[in-house]
Amino acid sequence: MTQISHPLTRRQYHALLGGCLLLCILLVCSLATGAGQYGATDVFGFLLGEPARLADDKLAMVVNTLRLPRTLAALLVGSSLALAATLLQSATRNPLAEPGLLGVNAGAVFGLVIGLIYFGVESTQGYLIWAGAGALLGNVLVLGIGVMLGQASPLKLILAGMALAAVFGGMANFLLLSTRVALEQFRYWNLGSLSASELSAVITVSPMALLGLVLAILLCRQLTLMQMGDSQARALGISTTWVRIGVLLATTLLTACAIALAGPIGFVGFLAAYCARLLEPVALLRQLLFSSLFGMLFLLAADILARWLVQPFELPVGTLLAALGAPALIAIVLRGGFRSLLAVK
Amino acid sequence: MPSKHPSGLWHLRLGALNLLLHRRTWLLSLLVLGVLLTLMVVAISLGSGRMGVTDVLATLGGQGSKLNDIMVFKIRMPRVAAVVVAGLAMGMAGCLIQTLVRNRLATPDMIGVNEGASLAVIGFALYLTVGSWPWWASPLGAALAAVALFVLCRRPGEQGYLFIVIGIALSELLGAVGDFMMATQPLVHLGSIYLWTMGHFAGASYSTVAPIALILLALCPLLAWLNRPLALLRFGEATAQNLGIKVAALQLAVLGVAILVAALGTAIGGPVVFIAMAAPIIASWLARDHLAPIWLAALCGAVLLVGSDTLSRLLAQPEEIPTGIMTRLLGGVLLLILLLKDRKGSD
Repeated sequence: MTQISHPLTRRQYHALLGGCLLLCILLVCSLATGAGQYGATDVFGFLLGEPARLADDKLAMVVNTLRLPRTLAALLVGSSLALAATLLQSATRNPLAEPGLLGVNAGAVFGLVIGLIYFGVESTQGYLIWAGAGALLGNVLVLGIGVMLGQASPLKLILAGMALAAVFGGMANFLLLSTRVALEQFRYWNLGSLSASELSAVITVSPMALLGLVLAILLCRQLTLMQMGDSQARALGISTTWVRIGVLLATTLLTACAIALAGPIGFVGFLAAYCARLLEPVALLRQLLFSSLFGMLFLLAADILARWLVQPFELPVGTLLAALGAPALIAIVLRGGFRSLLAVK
Repeated sequence: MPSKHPSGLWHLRLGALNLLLHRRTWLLSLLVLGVLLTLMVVAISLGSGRMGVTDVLATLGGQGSKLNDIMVFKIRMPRVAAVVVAGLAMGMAGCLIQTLVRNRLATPDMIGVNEGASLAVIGFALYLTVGSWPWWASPLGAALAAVALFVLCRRPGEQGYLFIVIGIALSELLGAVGDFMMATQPLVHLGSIYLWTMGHFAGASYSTVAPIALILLALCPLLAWLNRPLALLRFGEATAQNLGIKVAALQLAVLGVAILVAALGTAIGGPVVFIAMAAPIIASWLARDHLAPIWLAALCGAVLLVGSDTLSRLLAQPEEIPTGIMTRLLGGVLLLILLLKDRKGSD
């Protein structure tokens, strides 16, 4: 296990330090931007408990119901999606995999729509359960298809995921539009947005996300060894089937948390996991660390941009990430960079 | 008349002009045309306010009641006509690009051409024109998207799934830009445009459909002329060159026509996905030939789109569901089947 526990390289160390610093800056920005004319000093004064600021009801409203939940949700959603993407990439040995591109997000949305329409779900727990059921369905289907396609074709798996997403999306939209759920209400959520985040929802969802994280950390060692091939891993005494089932559960949990909070947000997991893989090609634990850091960074930055770009309107953050992530996907696919990452190092 | 032509062909002689017609394909085309006409009559007869098929036929023959006249000619006919024209255009464009790139999945709806077209239409509709539907803007966006795609992928014929994934990423990008534009507008303006971006024919009128149908009709001789060299192109560029075809010029011409047709098809009902992919595949399956003639693909496209549109109207009564949602559902299943059938081929 020497390879896994080697010290951080200089580059990784710098990335970690810089990432944390940037995260702090973005946190401040996120708390300081938005509708309502309160700057960073006001918000932090309030959070640190300055009496003069605590007395300001309007400030309390802005921080407690708008900016703080939104910022926390961005952190939770970003890191969940990034962790799920890293797990999926390593389980399918496909550097392009992520919940959005593989149709898991669409499955979760489909589950949620079923819950909304047929079971009248209105609580965050309900959202979580139905999104989880849908994500599980999507996950099982796409991983099953992946097994059938074989591992020689990363692009085909992505295409299959997109086809699956089309089917799920078609069904979800069909159900929604044929049952008079307000177009306006769902339209925004369907594009992926953090604007409706509530503190209570974040608190409800976070234990599940934590569970997913713990599961991911427990699976790390086995998954890292499985990069050498299933037969090698089995020779080392790893039950590959159980590890795969564990990955399935962990990614389902993480994706469901993200969807229940923010709707389907694509590309952030892919980008974060890809960057993490560039920094640390082998050890999965470290990949998870970097990927969740990058996921938080990307989503938070995108959310700030979404609030700031088209004032006084607001962009759905999922749209913004698709606009930034799609060119990145094109560049990576064109350079064939993903093929070199396939090789076991 | 001595029959020296191979079996399965019809020999037509019009004065000095000799024509060899592929019997199976022609019979099939007639059959599909019959199916299309039947479907159209059924589609007209269905909807809120029922009408029997006989009523429809009587009304079309000019012997309907006043109410039926209005229902058929003012309400249902424009929509069915729009769907048919869009379906024909999509089938045509899909067949052209599939043949050109020699990739079954490479169709304008998969590689971003349709999204480019709809982006241009949205842009003009939201910011630049007032009142009328800017269908004429669509070729502009489609051409830009295609240029971007072909700059990114220099030799699309040799890249298989790579080309498709890049095309899909491009459509995601263009779709996001479209959402971006719509997000800055008050919702009042967006209701119909939002449905249109998912592929919707409810608002289609003759003022959009008629000019597009005329342009498609004008392109028909060109397509008939392109059909044969295009068939030779599938043997490979080198072979086609040796057979006396100016390959580069042909490719450029085919691409231009395909983009124009795809854009016009999109302009009517929005970017309806998967029809352009499915139609040529079904056509070539019917013709038991790897390369279906363009018109058969076009007819199949029209049949598929009329079918999906009618299905989405029937299933969702009394609501209106965008047709694109139905085609997305059906087409996604088809794409999965195709991918699974091609299991052995790697990227």
